[in-house]
Amino acid sequence: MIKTLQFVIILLSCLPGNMAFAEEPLFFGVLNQRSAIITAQYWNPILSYVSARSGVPLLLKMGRTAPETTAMTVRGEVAFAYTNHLFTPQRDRLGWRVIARPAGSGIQGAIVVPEASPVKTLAELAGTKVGFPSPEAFVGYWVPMDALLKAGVKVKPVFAGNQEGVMAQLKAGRIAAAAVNAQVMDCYARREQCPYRTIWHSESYLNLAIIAHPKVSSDKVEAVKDALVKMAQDEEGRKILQAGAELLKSSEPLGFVAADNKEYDNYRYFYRNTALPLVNE
Amino acid sequence: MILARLNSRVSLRARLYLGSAAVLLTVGIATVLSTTIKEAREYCGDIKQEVDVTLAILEHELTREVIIGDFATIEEILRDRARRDNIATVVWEDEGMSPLVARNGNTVAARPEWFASLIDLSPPSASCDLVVGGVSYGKVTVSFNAVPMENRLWQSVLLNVESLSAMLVLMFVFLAVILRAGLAPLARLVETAWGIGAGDFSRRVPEFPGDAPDMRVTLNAFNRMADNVETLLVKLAEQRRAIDNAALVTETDLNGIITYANKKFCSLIGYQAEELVGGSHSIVNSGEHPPEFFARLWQTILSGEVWNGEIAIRTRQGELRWMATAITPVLGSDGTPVKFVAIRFDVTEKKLTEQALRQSHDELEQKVAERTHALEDANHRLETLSSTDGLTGIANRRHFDQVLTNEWNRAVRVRQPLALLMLDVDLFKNYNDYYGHQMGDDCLRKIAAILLASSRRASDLAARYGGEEFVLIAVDTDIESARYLAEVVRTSIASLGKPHAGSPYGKVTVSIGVAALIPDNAQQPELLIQKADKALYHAKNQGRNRVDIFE
Repeated sequence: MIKTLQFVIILLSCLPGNMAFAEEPLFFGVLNQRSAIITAQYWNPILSYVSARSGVPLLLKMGRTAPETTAMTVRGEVAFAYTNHLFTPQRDRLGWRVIARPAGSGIQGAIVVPEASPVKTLAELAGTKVGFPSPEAFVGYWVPMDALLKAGVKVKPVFAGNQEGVMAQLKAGRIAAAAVNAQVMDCYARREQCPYRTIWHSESYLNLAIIAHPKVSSDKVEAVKDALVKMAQDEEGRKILQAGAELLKSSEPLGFVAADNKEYDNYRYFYRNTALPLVNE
Repeated sequence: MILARLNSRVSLRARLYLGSAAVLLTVGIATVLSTTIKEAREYCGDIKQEVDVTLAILEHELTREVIIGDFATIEEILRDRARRDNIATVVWEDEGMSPLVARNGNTVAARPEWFASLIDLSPPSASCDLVVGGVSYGKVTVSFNAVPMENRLWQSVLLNVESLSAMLVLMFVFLAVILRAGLAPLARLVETAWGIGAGDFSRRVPEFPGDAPDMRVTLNAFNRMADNVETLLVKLAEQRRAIDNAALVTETDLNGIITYANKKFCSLIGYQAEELVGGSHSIVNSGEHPPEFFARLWQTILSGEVWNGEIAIRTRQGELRWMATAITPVLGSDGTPVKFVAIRFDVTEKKLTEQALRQSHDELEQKVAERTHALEDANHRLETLSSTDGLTGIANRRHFDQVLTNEWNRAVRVRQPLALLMLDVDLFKNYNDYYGHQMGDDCLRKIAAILLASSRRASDLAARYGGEEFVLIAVDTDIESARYLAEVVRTSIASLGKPHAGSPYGKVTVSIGVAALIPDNAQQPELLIQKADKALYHAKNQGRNRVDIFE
């Protein structure tokens, strides 16, 4: 890994006017939506590209589970993060800045069942096992559990660690229904040939945000943001994005767009009005 | 050669044990070797597959953990993998850090080193780079450990050896039981054979119901052979007794040393058997035969041939006895004599009788020969007297007639001329009257001598025909040759110059008539005489002392 970084540093040091690679790499935390390997397969090429373009060396970092990753993010162990877990009232005060987000229309929480399942409504899930990625998952737990609670349906929650983990449990028949990110579920179902049926979905929330720690200097933040946003327009960057989309079987638009904190206010609104207690915040 | 020598020194039982053990050991060792080699090859194939599988598993397990950076889990994964028997070490290394190494400490080499060197499994070491999304997460290396497989193969070998040993023991026990029961009839057979060999020809091998069928066949064959041998020996004993009663029998070795002598022989020559056995056969040598006689005898019997003849032997008392003898060589398996058996019959009386007869016969033959010779002489004299003229000593008229007839017949057969000279002394009556008969006889003898001298060929014959007439038969002689011969005779007689007072020639002369012809079957010998006589008559009429021929 270090060898690769040294190579990147030497490569970029040859570019005129760029003096950025004498620094230690910065960690880029990615929330556990998929397995670590698929996450690395998707994000490592992007981070290598952004490191080269921005002059800010970035290293992927993630915990074993989404809560671990979120905890690392909350502790400030990463400089950048791809997450939507930091919009609760208390975490919002940590000062993380939204700098970009994936292009596309946003995400929805959904409760899905296997296509062959007889379950048609939320009420029919009462008393059954319903899978969630983790207690930290916004559209995977907070939003659907909030809906279940507000509908008066008590289920037996089962946490699978990440988005695809809960989808795999649904596919395996260990749970009656799964609370998921609708876009992630769609990609997973197409990739894994796993037909499903949505019995509930939430309003649309913007996809996970790329946020920067307040201690990261503005020029580095801007350099990273600029590299991300321009990636889809660059031939090399576009190839990387296309490869990533093929890996995830994603039909979303390629690349990233610039974003700010205000675009994620509906997250903040949700947290203020949710029926779920914010005990682990 | 070695196998034959080994076979001659090793018992059947030992051969069975050794042979079976050798076969079992060969098959067992071959099986162990082939199994070990096969398992080793399979292991090498399996280990290559396991390399790929292990590296794939490690790559998958480690990649997730190195992405997360959970070194405790990484070490646990490495240790977990290294706990497997066939893995020696698992190493994960990355730039800028010390390698994480997990070693297999469980494996103990139970196999000997030489076994490991022999099978030489040479386990592979393989590694792969952990790269995700173009970012390297280091390299994982797995070194495989051959010791567990070597231990397993060694255990397999030991197990096979134990099985083989057990099989050997079982086989020996099985063989021992089978041989003990199976060879019992042979032991009885051997015991019986020893009994028969000791002279008890009535012994037979007892058979039991438990004997194996092939053994029963052997015992039956042996008993049948014993029956035949007994019968044969009885016959031989009878024949021997008969021979001993009738003949004198001795046996000698190749050096002429007596090894057996029957009673008849001993009693004849006056020795005890104990005195003869071990001694040379020359003890009975009579001295009657020359050394060449015995040389021929030995040459005959040493070549394997039977010698037949008569030998004179001398008894202890010095008496000479003649034996009609047949010496038979007893041949060994290689066809050469091993001893000689001499069977003799005393023919002394016959021999003496023959000698006496032969002596009498010889004497008689001698006497007969002497008498015959005397008779032949007498006959010869008589014959000579009957064919010879008593006065002149030449052939007489009778002999002339026989010879003429014979020569006539011969001339007819061979178609050759036959000539006859007829001679008459001129005026011989006057000679007798004048000189007396004694002088006349003398004159006739002289003329006969000349005539005899003139008949030079053996086939010619001069004869006195009668009185003062002589004839000469000349065979294969024509008329001219005969005339010439007659002229020679006449001249020779005239040349004697014998005085003849009553002859006009003053001396004794002769007249000769000559005739010659080639006779045929239609003619008789008298024809030639007649012609010669006419020619003589003509010669006398023409004045005597001349030769005339009949033409």
